[in-house]
Amino acid sequence: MADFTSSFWSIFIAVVTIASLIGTGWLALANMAKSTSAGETTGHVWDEDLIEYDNPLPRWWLYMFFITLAFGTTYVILYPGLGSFQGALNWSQISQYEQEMANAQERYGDLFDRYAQADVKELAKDEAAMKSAARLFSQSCALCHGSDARGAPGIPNLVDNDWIYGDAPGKILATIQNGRTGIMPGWEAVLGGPEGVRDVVEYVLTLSGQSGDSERVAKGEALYRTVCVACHNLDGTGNQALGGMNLTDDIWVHGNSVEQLTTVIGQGVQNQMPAHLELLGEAKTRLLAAYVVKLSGN
Amino acid sequence: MADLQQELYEKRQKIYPREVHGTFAFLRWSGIAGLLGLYFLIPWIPWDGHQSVLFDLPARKFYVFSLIFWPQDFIFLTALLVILGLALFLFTALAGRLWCGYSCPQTVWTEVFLWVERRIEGTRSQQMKLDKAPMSARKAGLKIVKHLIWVSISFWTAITFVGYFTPVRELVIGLPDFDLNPWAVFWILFFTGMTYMNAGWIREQVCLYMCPYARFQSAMFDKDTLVISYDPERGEPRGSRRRQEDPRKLGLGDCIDCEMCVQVCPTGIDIRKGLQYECIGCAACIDACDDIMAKMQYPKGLIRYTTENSLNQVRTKVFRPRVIIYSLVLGALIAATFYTIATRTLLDVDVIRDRNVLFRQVDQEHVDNVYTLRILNKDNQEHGYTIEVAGLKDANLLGNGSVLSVPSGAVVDVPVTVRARVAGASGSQEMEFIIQATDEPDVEIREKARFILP
Repeated sequence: MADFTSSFWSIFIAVVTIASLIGTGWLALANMAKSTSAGETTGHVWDEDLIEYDNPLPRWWLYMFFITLAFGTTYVILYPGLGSFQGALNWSQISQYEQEMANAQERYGDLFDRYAQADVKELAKDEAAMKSAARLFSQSCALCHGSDARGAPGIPNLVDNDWIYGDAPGKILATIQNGRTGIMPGWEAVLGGPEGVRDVVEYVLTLSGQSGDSERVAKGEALYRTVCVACHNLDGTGNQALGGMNLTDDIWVHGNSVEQLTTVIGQGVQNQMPAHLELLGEAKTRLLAAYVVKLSGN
Repeated sequence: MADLQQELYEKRQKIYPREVHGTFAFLRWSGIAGLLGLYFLIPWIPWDGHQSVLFDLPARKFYVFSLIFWPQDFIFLTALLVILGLALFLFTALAGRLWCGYSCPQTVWTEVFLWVERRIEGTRSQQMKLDKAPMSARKAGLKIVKHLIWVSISFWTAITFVGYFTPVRELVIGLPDFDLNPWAVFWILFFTGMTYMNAGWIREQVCLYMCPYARFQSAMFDKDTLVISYDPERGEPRGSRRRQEDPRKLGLGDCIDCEMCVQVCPTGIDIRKGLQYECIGCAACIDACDDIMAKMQYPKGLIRYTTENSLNQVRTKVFRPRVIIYSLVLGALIAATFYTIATRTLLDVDVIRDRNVLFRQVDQEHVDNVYTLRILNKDNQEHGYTIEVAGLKDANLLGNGSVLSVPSGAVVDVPVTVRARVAGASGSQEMEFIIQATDEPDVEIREKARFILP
């Protein structure tokens, strides 16, 4: 056992345990053999006249000690108890965990093997699978995306059928399994300081039908065409291959107020969807992808 | 010198109660037959497609005929225990240890075991003779048969008991092939052993040394409580006499000192020494003494149900404060429990708020709050439920209008989004969810929740 840097403590514990078992056993045996005549006292006197009879232990009580000793001895032989001795059964918390996992594999293995190979769109139609998926979602996804999957500030809404990386089930599965890193760089320096950022903000607002200061919009449009087009496209519809968000649909992950947009454009923002394949495995990530597909009604 | 050593604890002397017949023996046997009949039959009665009484621990459902109880209904178990406790108080105050003498399982099974013992080993004196006799083929045979029957009764008792917790039919079907859950096997063996030990060997020692009720019941006695008592005024001085002799001339009371009352006592006491904590109130001594009195052509009732007051020529009061208070409290509690069970809603809802984000600003005017509703259908049929929100201005449920169907006994988690207009309000607002069964408008639950605004 790696818990001890030297074998001293292991031996110490084993010796103390064995000595205690033998010692208490001897004590019980010694009491069994003892036969005093009735009425004899221990000779101790307390509080002037309080004396104690030296009577043998009741048999049933004595036998309980022997039963306890037998139990204790059996225990330290079968289970870890004597220092680093593993016990005859070789039991450990890890082996128990592995045993339980093996039992679960035996019970649910076939079902999950089937899920691991199933088509995501087909899974979305399987009611039993979706029940499991709903539970998985509330365990693994709801923490960020919310129990209703409508997201939170900075975290995409999954039910609005607006997709940053595309609505193909394969894309959704890839997002869940491998994660995504969304990077919007900070453009303040490139756009010529806060004024340039403000111009672009005004233009971006008009893309989704909101009104902006017309002078700024014109300046902003020029800047947009040189800097932002690369990811967000000329018409602002974005680029799902790069994860460039659509700016025309009035759906805002990071908010649509002037302040929020100024921060995002000027300082940039980084978003991280963690990879779940290693954590949950093929079957569960597929279930979740199917659940997300189902949520958006695809 | 071991043989000189004094026994430091008195060894139990085996008690051989003599068989009795009479009014109270009949009452006791009627009680035993009724209770055992109920105990052994109830699990076999089917009811609404399930076993009539089944405490399904793994599924956490407790079937009692038409009622299904859930862990959430645990309060009813508390109520039941309080009712039973109060009933014990009331009947003890009225008539002493009725429970011990007529209905306690310890008494009931001991009586059955004693009956078996008498059928096989014979009467009290035959039993005593047999136990003193050296081992012989006949003695061994009788003992083996007796213990086999005892074990069989214990075994069937255990099967029945376990049958209240796991379907008894499957249990009995699985029995010949040992196709049983290891825990079921363990409990069957445990209760077989316990029944055999308690009713066969330990018997009255349970009442004398283990049972807490036995000791505290005397606290409910008063001078007007019915107790089994010997009438020393009439009986003393006791002494034997011939039937035709007039006891008055001999200077004797009615007690002929035949010791029948001692021989029939299952706890081995002499009732003539007065009220003792060992007396379980089984009234065997009354039957025995009445028989003797009849034979002697004396009036019955030298040993009888009477009260301390009555023995002292004071009028017995049945309706005294403690009896009235016990009755009122007991009656109120029974009524309240029945009313609550009859009017309970077979639906349970828990509202669990999303805690990662308290609220979600949708736009300048609207805010979302997200909840998970955990809906438990406690009825024995499937229901559809509608969910609505109330108590908050301009609030509505996203994607509402759909009917949620929950099978009997199922728990369904539904994430719901409530969207409300901000409209100048801020902070935490009160609101409620209304969950109603579509087919039974009475089945409705209003569950309070909080809506949090920026």
